[in-house]
Amino acid sequence: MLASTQLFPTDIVEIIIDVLAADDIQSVKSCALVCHAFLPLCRNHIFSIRLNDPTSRFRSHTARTFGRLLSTTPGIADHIRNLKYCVDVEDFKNPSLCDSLKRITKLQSFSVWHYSSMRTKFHWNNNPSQPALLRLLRFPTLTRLLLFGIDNIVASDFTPCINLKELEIEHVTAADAQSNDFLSTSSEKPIRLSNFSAGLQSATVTTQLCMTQRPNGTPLIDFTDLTRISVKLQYPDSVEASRELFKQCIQLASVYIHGMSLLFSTLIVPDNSFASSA
Amino acid sequence: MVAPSLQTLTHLRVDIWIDDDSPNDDPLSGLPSELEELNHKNIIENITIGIFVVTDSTCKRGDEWGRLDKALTRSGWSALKQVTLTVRLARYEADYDELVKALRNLPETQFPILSSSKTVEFIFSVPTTWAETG
Repeated sequence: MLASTQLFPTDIVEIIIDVLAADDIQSVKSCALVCHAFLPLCRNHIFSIRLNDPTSRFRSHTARTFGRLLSTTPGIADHIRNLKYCVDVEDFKNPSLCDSLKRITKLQSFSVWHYSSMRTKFHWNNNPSQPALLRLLRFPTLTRLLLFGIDNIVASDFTPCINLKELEIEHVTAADAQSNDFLSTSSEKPIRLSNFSAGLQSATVTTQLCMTQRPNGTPLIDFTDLTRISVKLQYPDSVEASRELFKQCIQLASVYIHGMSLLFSTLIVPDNSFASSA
Repeated sequence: MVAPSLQTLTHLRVDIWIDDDSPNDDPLSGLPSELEELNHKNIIENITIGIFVVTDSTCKRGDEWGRLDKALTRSGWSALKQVTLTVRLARYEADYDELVKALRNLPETQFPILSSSKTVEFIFSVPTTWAETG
């Protein structure tokens, strides 16, 4: 293997591994074991952290074990690209979780979800981890975001996500539009998504994402680049939100719509009012 | 609704849940009308339609389906390669034998053009499952 690293310059090997990582992460994990020279190039891609995930078949950290991992091996924090965080409000009693999250520097994919079966609400705009979560949204490396089971989401909090390409929301509610607070340092360019998924009970957030404008009048999100869209229709407000969304899309390649017949027909045939169908 | 993306849209998938309260007795819920509006030159290659009949509900088995056959076989649909139509029935107490038989005849009775097309692969199925009791 020494011969191969001499044969190819390190930057060429890095490009090969980057390309491989886009399709075949298992092979990248194998490459990480080849030699010491490959390890730092590979681990840029392979660190995926699951926090409090009861459904994972892979190892899931608790806030305590995650904190211990980063304390004993601080360099790992720079390599974490994918973070799946299942919110446990018990963690908020201990500040170590926020300290751990603040060590992450180059996140690419971020999932935050909260199971309603826990019988507790997780309010995006009012929880002790909010500063740490907002910090993660500011990384220019962040391209994918998933939010599930979260209340009072503030649309303007997404302003720093300038390179976000994929956004998935489900079982979320929006805070009042008046909660939107744009910093004077906010980017003036809209987020240009390529994939958007509006799952069940996400209408209020979808509507806000469609309607919110930055102080300079540009939209918070420009949906005209969207190529893949998925919408689930559950209540009448999801029809209105979807209709507003589709109005802004001009180059879709893939469309998925899921819903009850009444809502579906109302979406595609606007004259079908709920009153007349009842 | 998707007309602004007429020149880019290649894949369309819809899952529609119908029950006895569904409007207009139309199992396709107006979808053929929407597709008729895309009759101009489009590049849609793949359409996947799932119709989910809610437990022990029923659905029409007549000409309502045939509109889809006509809508997708007009001149603007030259890029179309595959149409998948799945009608899923979940039964608990209802006797679905007659309905299943009628639905499984739809390719012959309502989709003659798609069924015999040499350019479009038409995949049709009517799977049934037993609904779980509460």
